[in-house]
Amino acid sequence: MDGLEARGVAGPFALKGVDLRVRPGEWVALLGPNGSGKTTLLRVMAGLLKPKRGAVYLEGKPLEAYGSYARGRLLAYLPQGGPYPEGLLVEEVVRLGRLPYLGLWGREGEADLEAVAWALEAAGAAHLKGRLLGTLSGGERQRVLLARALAARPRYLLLDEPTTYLDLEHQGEVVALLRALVARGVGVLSVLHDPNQAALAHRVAVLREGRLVAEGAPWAVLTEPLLRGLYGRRVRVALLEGRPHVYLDG
Amino acid sequence: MTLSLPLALKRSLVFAWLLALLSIALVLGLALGAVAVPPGDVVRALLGLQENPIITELRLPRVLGGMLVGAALGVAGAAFQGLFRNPLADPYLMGAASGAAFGVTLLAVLLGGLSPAFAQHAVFQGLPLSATLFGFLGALFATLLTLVLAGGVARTGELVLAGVVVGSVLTGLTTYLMLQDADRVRAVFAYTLGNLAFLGWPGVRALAVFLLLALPPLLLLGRVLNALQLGEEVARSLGLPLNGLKLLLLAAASLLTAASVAQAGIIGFVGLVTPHALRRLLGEDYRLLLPASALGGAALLALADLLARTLTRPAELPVGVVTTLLGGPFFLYLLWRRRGRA
Repeated sequence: MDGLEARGVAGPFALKGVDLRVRPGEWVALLGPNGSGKTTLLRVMAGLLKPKRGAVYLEGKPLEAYGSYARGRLLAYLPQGGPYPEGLLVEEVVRLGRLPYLGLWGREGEADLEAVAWALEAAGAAHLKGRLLGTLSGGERQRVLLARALAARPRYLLLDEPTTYLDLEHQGEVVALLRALVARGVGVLSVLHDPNQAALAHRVAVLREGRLVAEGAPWAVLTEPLLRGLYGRRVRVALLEGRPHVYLDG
Repeated sequence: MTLSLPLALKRSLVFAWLLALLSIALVLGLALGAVAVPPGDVVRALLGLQENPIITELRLPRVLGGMLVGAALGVAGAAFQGLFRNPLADPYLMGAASGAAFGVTLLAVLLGGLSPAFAQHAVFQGLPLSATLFGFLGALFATLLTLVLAGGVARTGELVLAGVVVGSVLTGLTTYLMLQDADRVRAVFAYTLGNLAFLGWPGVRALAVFLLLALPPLLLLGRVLNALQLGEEVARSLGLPLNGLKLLLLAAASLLTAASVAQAGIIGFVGLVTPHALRRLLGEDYRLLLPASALGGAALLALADLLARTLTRPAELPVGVVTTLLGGPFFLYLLWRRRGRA
């Protein structure tokens, strides 16, 4: 069975029984108001939180059946915000992404250096590799952290608000990068709180008070009635070229 | 703009500098003191060509022991700072210092009738072995108590809070015990000030054993401390068995702290300032920062002890007073410079 799948996940914090599946080569956006359990679900699916009920399956096997390094090779997790190791070189930060292959004392080989170079390139951060992380702008730093997540060449990427604090240009770069990765077969699950970015994903899953209230293609999910239920009566949706655009009524 | 070449060069230079500083500290430490010994005589005494107990029985163990204490404090400080992701963490964060002082005070009380003699001994001839042992046990006890109160190593914030609580309570108990008898106050006071005058060959051997035990795991876990700088969740998502590793790091750093507190009392600022200053020169790569902090701490404490022995010749200052007097303003300078840059 393909994919990373939450089945009946309930227990930690707000979650009250959630089923969600991310397939390889698919970008699923997780949307919902503050406190709806988005980040918790992401952490459960990354294997960082244990659900009280239900379980997470990775390619058909329970997530706990994987060793922690094996899990780290398949799933990469990027939380929202810091901490940031400001005194580490960009290249050293990205190399940390190879830990699931190196363990505590393994020496970096050709494959590791290649993967690091590829990740830097893919994230558009190759030119930054000799800089200290603390000297970068917010957008540059986010690209480096993404490169760190990519360095293990994971099959699934779990991202918590990967575009927060980025200006429109850098948001666009991150979205383009995610699309390119998905095209290569990576499964992406990203928490987003901007419905317009969620509209760019293949599928949108909407959480409310710990339950999945809608799931499907953006045009089917991001409707005025649903979004008004989530965010209030001022929300308006316009379909432009088949894609929903969400805005607030002045 | 790339900094990688100059940075690599800078890093090698820092290590060369530290080694040079350490050698200078060793030579000066042996040659200078209440009585100056000419360098030629120092070399002859070291090679066994000339009998000179001032060098071989007093200064050599003191300088070497001081370097071992400094190395232990430097590495423990770097490890605690990395573990807690806080550049203001120091080796005594888990309550080891208060624990050691409490242990020694408790011993003084247990030996109630002997306390004036104990005080005399501690102040004028160095701490007896029992005091070292009680200091060590006290430091370990405090660290373990902090761990238990924090419910393990999982929640870093609670560890810091528990450390503060344990430190305060033990300091309060120590003060209470000390107030019972003025003689004990002197003995324990001499100890808490931090002093390398107590160090002889047995102390050096004990320190060497603990460094051999605790230094390798710390130096080998630089990669883990690096990963921790990305946050504990990311470190775990990379597959690191974090609870076990944190416990190992904490145990090793605490063992180093306990061993150094037991032998030399509470020496402030070495464990705080050394990694802090080196981080500015080397960056935050703990694979470099840990060994550099060992060298830097060793050099710093040996040089501070040189000042302690020579500033008020023929009398001596406790080295803890020197490190605090020098370290405090230096630390302020570092903070001030950082603010200036920001």
